[in-house]
Amino acid sequence: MMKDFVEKLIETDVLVVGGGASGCFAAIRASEVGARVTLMEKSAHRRCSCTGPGMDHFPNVSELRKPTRVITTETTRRTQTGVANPHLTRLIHRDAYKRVLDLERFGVKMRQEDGTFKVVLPAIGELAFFGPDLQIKLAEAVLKHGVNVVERIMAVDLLTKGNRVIGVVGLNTRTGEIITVVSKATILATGFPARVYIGYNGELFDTRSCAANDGCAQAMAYRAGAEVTGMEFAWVRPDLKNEKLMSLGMFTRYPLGLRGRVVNAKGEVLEKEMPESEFGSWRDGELIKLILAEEKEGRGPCYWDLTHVPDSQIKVFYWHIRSEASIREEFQKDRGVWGMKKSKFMFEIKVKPSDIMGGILTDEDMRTSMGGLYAAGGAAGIETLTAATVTGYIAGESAAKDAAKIVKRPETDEMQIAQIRKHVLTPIKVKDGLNPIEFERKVRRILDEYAGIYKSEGMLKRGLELLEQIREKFMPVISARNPHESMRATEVRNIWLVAKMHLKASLLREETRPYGLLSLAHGRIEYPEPKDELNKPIVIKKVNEKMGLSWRDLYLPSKPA
Amino acid sequence: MERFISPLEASVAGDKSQMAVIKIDYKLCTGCKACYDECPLDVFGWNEEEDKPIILYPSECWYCGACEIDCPTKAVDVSQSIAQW
Repeated sequence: MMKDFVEKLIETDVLVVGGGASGCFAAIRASEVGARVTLMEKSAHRRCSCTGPGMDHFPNVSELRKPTRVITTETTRRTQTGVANPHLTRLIHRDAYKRVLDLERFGVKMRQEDGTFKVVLPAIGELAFFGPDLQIKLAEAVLKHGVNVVERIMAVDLLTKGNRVIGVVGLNTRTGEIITVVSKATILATGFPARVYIGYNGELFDTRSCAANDGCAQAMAYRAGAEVTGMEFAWVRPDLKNEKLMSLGMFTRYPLGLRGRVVNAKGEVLEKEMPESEFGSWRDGELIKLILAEEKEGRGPCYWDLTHVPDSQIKVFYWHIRSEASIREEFQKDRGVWGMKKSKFMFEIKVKPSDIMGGILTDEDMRTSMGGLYAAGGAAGIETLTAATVTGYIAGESAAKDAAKIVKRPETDEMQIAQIRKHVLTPIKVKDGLNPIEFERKVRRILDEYAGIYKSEGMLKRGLELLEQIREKFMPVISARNPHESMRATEVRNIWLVAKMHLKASLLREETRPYGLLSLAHGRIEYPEPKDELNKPIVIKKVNEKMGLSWRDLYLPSKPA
Repeated sequence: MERFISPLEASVAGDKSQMAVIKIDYKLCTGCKACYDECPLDVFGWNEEEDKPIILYPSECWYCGACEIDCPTKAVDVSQSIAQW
């Protein structure tokens, strides 16, 4: 029932893969600099990515901080705990406000009715805005800038020539058509891998980041020979049970008395007495350790207790929840959460690993270790809407400027295109094979069972062994009966590779590394404390067709040859 | 292309959709394709014969709510699955 694949060729100066916040900013900036831009989006541009359901916060705007607070230095320290690329963190602090103004220009309601910004966390300059239509506005802005948007096209693999990326082979997820895009510069902006650990509620697609994020940037870049970093770090934070979009983090940053308390099942408060700052008196990663310990020692579950918080502050929290993703308000009503009496404002806390917080290693211009390849946002291993817009903008500018210097159209290698096409076509030829989703379920169960919050050498090694076993036994029999399943079959190849990178990098990082107050970016049972000498990145790169891992002193990619 | 499915498949998928997290009220649905066009996870199929959407992959829903929010006649309802209680 599948029709023959039809070949199609697109030529462009700058190709942006991924249409979320970072991809949109990259495309818009590249177009402003004067490049012909094509934006490739796997789903529908108006509702794609993490921004699709809406977003309500824009942190790290230096101009909106209250600089008199001691906390400013505290914040900087926390963002440089060796998890995020510090060069990129610096750029974010520098450019955030400009991107706020850009969003405003695109029609996003960044200010309140009286024309002022609503700053919810002055310590880190976190701007709250009304953004249920954020992605729609971004998509409109991209079109206004004359970008050629191709929807329902997923990137399968990068086209290379030597150490240079010259385009992408894509698959139309609705027609099965295979598309070759030849580009002078390619920006990967497809976010953090979200389909790694099993979702919050045991469902594969109920993930924190957009479930379409299969980690294709990280996987494609690795396969092409680029340097990838931070793959051992996972999003492990205390979240409100059933509210995947709400980490406890932002609430605990409100001043004491307004932010609620964290209590165990006996009602005992976990918080220490006198907070030194709005962050409380905890050390990095301490709260999450306390919560996990309470559970382990039989005093769980822990709760976020709002019973003593004034009504005005409850309203603030309510505002956050409903505007970030309006659909969730309905779910909460179904469960009776917000309908409860004030005396019952207790939210159960759950700690569950989700996204992998790794990406392609970039320099300050968002250039990577390969010529013609750029990364932005989650694909560059950096989180938040602020990071996505700032790094997207820079990547767009670098890519457009570099592309302008290239006169000749890059020559593609037909053999290489045929090889990539084979990856798509093979599952179609398998009859009565394995549904790609079943393969995905197994990969993700391996992560849940052999990695998780606290990892250990033996478990990680066994996990890697199992990954190899299922690759040999089951990957060749994955079958796809229609273009939708071809998409899933292509995705599981990426998911498998991301899982392997995660396990291997986790094995090498023999320490436990918190990330800010509440998060545990990486946990090892044998090494429960962070080590100063390991406050540096692990770089993953393909060496002689094998996965090579090495420590690097600085967050800088090798210069393209 | 292959989004066209036989009436039998459509009826099965239709049944499934009534049990799943996404429900379509076919009396209200005008066949405008907003849900089919905007779903980021490609959960919907299109029944060409009826000119109406069907839920083909309910387990691949991300619960973003785009289909419900953007439906002009409020014919789509997304609810949480039992796993989310």
